[in-house]
Amino acid sequence: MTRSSPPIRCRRLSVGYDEKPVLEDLSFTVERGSTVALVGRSGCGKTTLLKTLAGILDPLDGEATVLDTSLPDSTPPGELGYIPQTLGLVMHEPVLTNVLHGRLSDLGKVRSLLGRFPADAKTDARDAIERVGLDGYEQSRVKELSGGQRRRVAIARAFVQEPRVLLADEMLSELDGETARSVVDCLVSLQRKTGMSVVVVEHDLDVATDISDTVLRVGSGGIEDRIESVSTREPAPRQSNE
Amino acid sequence: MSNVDRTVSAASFLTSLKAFSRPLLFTLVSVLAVWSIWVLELHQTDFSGGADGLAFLYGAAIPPEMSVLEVGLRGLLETLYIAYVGTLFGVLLSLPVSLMASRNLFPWYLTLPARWFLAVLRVLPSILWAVIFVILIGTGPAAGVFAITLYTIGFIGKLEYEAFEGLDNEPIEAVSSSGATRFQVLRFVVLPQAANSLISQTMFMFEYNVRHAAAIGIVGAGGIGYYIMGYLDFLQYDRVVVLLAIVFLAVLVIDELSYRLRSFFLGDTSTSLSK
Repeated sequence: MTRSSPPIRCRRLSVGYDEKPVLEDLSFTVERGSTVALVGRSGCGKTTLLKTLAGILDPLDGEATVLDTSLPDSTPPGELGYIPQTLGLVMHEPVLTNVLHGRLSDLGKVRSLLGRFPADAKTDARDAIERVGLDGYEQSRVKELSGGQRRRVAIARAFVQEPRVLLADEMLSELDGETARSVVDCLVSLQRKTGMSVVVVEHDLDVATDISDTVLRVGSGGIEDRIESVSTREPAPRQSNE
Repeated sequence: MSNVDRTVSAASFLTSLKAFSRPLLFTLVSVLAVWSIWVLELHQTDFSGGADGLAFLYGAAIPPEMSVLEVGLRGLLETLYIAYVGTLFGVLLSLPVSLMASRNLFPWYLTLPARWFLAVLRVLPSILWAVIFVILIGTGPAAGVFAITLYTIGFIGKLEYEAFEGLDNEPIEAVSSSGATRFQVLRFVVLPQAANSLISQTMFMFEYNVRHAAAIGIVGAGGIGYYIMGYLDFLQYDRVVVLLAIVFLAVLVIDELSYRLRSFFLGDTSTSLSK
């Protein structure tokens, strides 16, 4: 990908299930280092759009390019992170193992077979766990944690992966105000470090405006409104590495 | 008739069909049961000689001939070896096939042949597989191990792919969309997620195979069944009863051990209802 091309470009994109479109004629771009929030009523198609961008669902019509890959082709390994609504964690496994899943694309065949992660991946995973405030829980099984703690594990998994694009479905739900703030701070610092672009699904318009640069209000089968937010967070340096 | 009318009449037909489905199902089950009993002539079974037969068996089997205890324990040990090795090989060999048979993990052109393969192995019960292997490689425990292994692949393979298909898909999607290979998704997400079911199914299969390993000895595939058949041929019921008691006690012990092992792996499974 050339550094200047936006990591996500959609043109007249239609998304849906079983050939039935849920959202149609979507055109938008997500710039490097920016955060776009998708807001809208339950069932309006926000998650369907996110799953399409993640490569889980095929686009029904139109064009979508993610990291210079035209969907439905696969994006380069390790460059896209996805946090689903139910987090996608392996409940019986310890926190550390779940966070290390963010580094699977670095693992060779033999290490994959043996389940051995390199020492630097483990160090990074422990750092990510500490950053989301879960230090001391490395060996706890995810099923033993609260809903908010589980959400932080999923976020730590994305952090240790350091993707160029992060797609997160209701990343801040179930988190108390203080933890949500710390997660947003972590996100911003990661964006500053790596220039990561983020697309989040969010129910609350105020929260969406607070954490993003652009809010896309989704409904009635398409994008109803586009709000350029005056974010209270520290802006990410969008083109700092160019 | 307009399209709307057609839709309304189709919906009302479906509603009436649903209302009749339970009585219809009940009638169907009852008619099939009566028909089967009639065809098998179960209603004409003659129990009049049963008491004499029981008295004969009691006289022939009691007192039990305890001198066969050592033979019985040796046979039981062989049965346990057959069941253990057959279960181990069966479970290990079934895993790749059952993963390939899972519709949420592989495309249809791989799942379909994998499912057919498992179905073919389940067509014959383990005792018939044992007959085939006794013909192919002769009598002895090796025939038993092969028979148990093949049947285990077919049986547990089906349980496994059903467990894999019942898994939450989101961890699979989250990890695979981040660029993990299919092998990594299977190794790090699918197998750990299904671990509890796999342990439980393996323990169940071992219990099942101990009982069947005892039975397949009857056709010459080794183990305690081989001795039971030998004593039955010579009508030595006082010896047969000792061997049957050994099998019965072994199954009880394995059942308890299996429960404890499952509890160890799965944690406390009790609920307010079970207390």
